[in-house]
Amino acid sequence: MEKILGIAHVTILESFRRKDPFVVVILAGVIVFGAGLFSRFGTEDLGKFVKDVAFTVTTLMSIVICVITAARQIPNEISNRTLYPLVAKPVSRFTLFMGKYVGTSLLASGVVLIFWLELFMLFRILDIPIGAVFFQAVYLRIISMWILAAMVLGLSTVFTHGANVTICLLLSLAMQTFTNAMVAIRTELEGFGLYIVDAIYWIVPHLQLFDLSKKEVHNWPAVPLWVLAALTIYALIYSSFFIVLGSRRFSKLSL
Amino acid sequence: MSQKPIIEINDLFIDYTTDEGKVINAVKGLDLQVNESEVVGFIGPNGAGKSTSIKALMGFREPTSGSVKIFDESPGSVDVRRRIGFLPEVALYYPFLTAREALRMYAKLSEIPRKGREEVIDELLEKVGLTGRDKEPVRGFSKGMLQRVGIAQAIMGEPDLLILDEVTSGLDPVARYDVRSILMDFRAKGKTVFFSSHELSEVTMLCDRVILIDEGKVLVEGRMDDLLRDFKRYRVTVDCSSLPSDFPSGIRPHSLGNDQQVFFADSEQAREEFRKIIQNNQGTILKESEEPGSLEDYFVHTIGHKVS
Repeated sequence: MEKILGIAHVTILESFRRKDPFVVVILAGVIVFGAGLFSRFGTEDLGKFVKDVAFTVTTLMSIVICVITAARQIPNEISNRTLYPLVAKPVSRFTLFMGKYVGTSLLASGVVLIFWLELFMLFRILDIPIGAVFFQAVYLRIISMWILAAMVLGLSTVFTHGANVTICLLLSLAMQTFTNAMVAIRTELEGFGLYIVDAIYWIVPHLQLFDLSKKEVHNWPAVPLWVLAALTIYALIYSSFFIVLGSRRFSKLSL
Repeated sequence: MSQKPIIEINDLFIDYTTDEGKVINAVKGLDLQVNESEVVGFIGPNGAGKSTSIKALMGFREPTSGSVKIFDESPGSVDVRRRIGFLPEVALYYPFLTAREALRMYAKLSEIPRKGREEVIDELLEKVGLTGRDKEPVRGFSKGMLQRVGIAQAIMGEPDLLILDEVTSGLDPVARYDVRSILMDFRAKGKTVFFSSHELSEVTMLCDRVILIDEGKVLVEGRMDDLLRDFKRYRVTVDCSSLPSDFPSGIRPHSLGNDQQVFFADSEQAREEFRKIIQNNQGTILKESEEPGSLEDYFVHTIGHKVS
């Protein structure tokens, strides 16, 4: 475990030394308080509007940051030749992969926390009510980042850096927005097209399930705890799938 | 000296495909053995297959065919790597870490107990001459200083076997002296060292045995004394006014003076040829003598035209 945490620590340290967290804090500030400026226009049902805009933008930013951070981990180690001294130590490639995964997941979770902390402050300042579902939404957003980090890291052992970033961004943003459309399209399809849509629907992780922001926008009550538990198990299964896939592929990589 | 084999490579072939789709046959039937407590130099011209062979030895690259064993096990297993210290050919270290932070991370991965870890790092920093520079980011280090960090992580935990790829690359004379001392210290403790180098004077000073490879297979191997015993070179001093424009193979100019130049001939035959050339140019041979050959002479004589 110390080896995994050691590698995770270096992953996080790299981000801090590159000043990534400061950029995130400033970015979050601009986005969140930018959304808050709408209060000047006296929009009807202001609270819902500000919440919707802020949630949407911060969700997109979290996904983009997570994908970019995870995608560079293994390819950079290989191209910068920092991997050789690591793999020469008594540490399995699975451990290295897990270290990268834990580091990236913690970073992505930190980004979500910073964004949502600033959202929380904004809503308090604007006297916008915050329900229990807000905190559930933070939790689910964080565990959705675990899946995303595993998926991007796993696929970074298969695709080139550019292709991986593009595929993962498209997949995660598409699943976020077009899943319902896929269900609707499915009813119109038959034959090969139906198989393709079904395959995509079942293979790709459904990150939209982890998005409770609309419920918070419309002041829904908190979701039952079993839903959170089920989604946590779902996240663990999907993360494990991508970790196994990625670490097996990474173990066979010729250096 | 014990003859227990530590490294065994049998009929190793490694092919790989470049990004352009070209298949490279980097190693073509390599056979070698390194025994316990030996210090073995692995030499050869650029592109001979040294680094690729070392990668196979570390389990970084799967052989196309043949077998590689270290400590009688397959390379790449965690158990084997507990006993190996490795310095890659071109190692770069996380530029955002300080030397101490980098070594701390390698110490965690090397299973150095938490208690006493900082003392181990202090000792290593002193050994490689980085005391006082340990809190500086690696980003600002010269090539030589990076190599020192690399050597420190390689010798961490006093492994039974050191595998070093281009160990003295980029080091100044003082650092080379330090590295030599570290390796001598390892040898004195009965550890096994296998290293590749282009610095043949280092190889001569450190090695019990040399393995010379070219085009992916062993050309010559043997104890240094045996290789050089019958290898002599001939020093020929000539009058500068009689210098021809080019020389036959096996003749190397050594030093220039105002009115005379020293040449070394690798063989009796080369010396005869050179004499004739000097005579044809109405030149004068001022002095001739015979002396023991160096590993460099041996290398040039054996590899000849391939030296880059």
